[in-house]
Amino acid sequence: MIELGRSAAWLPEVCVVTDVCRENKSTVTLELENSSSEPHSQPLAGQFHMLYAFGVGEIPVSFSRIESDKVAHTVREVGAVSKAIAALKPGASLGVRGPFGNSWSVSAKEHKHIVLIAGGLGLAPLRPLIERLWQESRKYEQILLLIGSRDPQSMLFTDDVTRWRTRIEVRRSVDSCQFRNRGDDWNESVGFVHTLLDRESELSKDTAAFICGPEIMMRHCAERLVELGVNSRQISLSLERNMKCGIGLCGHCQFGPDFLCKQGPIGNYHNLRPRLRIREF
Amino acid sequence: MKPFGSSIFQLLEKHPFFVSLSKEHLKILAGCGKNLHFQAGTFLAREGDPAAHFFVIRKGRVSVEIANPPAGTIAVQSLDESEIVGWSWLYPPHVWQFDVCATQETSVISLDGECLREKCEQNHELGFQLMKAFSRIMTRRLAATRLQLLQVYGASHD
Ligand SMILES: Cc1cc2nc3c(=O)[nH]c(=O)nc-3n(C[C@H](O)[C@H](O)[C@H](O)COP(=O)(O)OP(=O)(O)OC[C@H]3O[C@@H](n4cnc5c(N)ncnc54)[C@H](O)[C@@H]3O)c2cc1C
Repeated sequence: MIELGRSAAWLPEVCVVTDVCRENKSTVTLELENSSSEPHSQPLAGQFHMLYAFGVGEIPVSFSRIESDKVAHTVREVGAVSKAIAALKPGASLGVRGPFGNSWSVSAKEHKHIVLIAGGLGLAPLRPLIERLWQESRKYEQILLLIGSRDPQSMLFTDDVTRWRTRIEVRRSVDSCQFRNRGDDWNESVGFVHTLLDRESELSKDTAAFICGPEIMMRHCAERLVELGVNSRQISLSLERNMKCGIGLCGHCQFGPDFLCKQGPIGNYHNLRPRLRIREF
Repeated sequence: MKPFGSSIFQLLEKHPFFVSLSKEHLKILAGCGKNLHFQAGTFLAREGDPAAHFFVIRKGRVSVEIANPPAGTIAVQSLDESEIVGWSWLYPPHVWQFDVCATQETSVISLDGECLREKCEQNHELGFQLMKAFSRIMTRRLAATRLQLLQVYGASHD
């Protein structure tokens, strides 16, 4: 039985795509009107919408930008639904449910040192948090953003990165780098993203870390942070496993005792670590 | 490439890579070292050349790479300040397996591997400590390379 208040959560609202920006061959950012007029339903950094391509299907997609009158979603084309959504043009409409899930939680009172680690498309769900930290950068002693990507051409949000660098330290690394002439397109690091931490011999005890990307990458980055002295309770990961209903009913995203669409997608490494080691999960 | 003056012993003593080495060992190492400076775009080592040295990066960045003619060059790893570059000097056939190019102005301590190899043959404790230190970075880099090869971010998105 579905509670009355919840039934609205099943109904997609029709939203108009106001702008489309192609980030690379397989990734686009769609801008939508922010339909959340109620303050309690304003999206938070780390949350997601269920986006419905009419007649094709519905998928969870994180917010990659949150403004008072508009939001953005960055979508990579991997299958039928994401391809249909990525093909939408300005003026097209799509169904939207949410916002759902929990959010990145950071407080300048508790943490003076911040480390953000993004792998591939994982930069999109972190972007609203990065924007907030960029605006509030004076409240923090150090903000370090590490970005890993497959190759230089796949790097996302390069204009934003240039702006972020005015206030926060950004290190970027690619797994694969081929060039014809030296300095052609990449003069930053080459190597798996966690090697960007090799320059640190220790991190401050009051560090809060936020990681988003493929699970293998998140596990290894989190372990490296623990080695460097970061408390595993202060390491947040976004576990973007497959989900369907978005409201903790269908069980598709069950991860041990949690439904990731509701208790997640963000969790702390201390709680998640034992479960991440269970292969059957 | 030009040398510049500084106390190599003090620099090595502060470096985490050499922590397990005694003062006596560090003195031997420092005796085999010199400071060098490389302009961006110049090579510290070339694939196939005898591996007579290894380097401790003091400042700058180098790229470990391999030529892939006619397409260009593939960079497999970059190394920054305080990283160690090169272990081919320690293991037969003592030949560089990759090119190493300075991608920024780079200052290094260059350690003479041929001289050190002889010292290690005479002083097995020094040899053991160096082997331990090098196997630590080799295993760390091997694990990182394996992750790098997994293509965890999916297909190319260019
Ligand atoms: C909370 C959350 C936030 C997400 N945020 C974003 C986002 O901001 N941008 C974005 O592009 N995608 C995001 N995703 C992933 C996105 O939901 C999937 O790519 C999408 O469901 C694929 O549906 P499809 O019909 O296009 O492809 P399908 O045919 O369903 O799948 C195509 C391929 O993608 C794989 N896949 C499907 N879902 C996932 C997933 N959740 N994680 C990893 N691989 C998957 C499948 O195994 C298959 O190999 C998020 C997922 C979650 C759970």
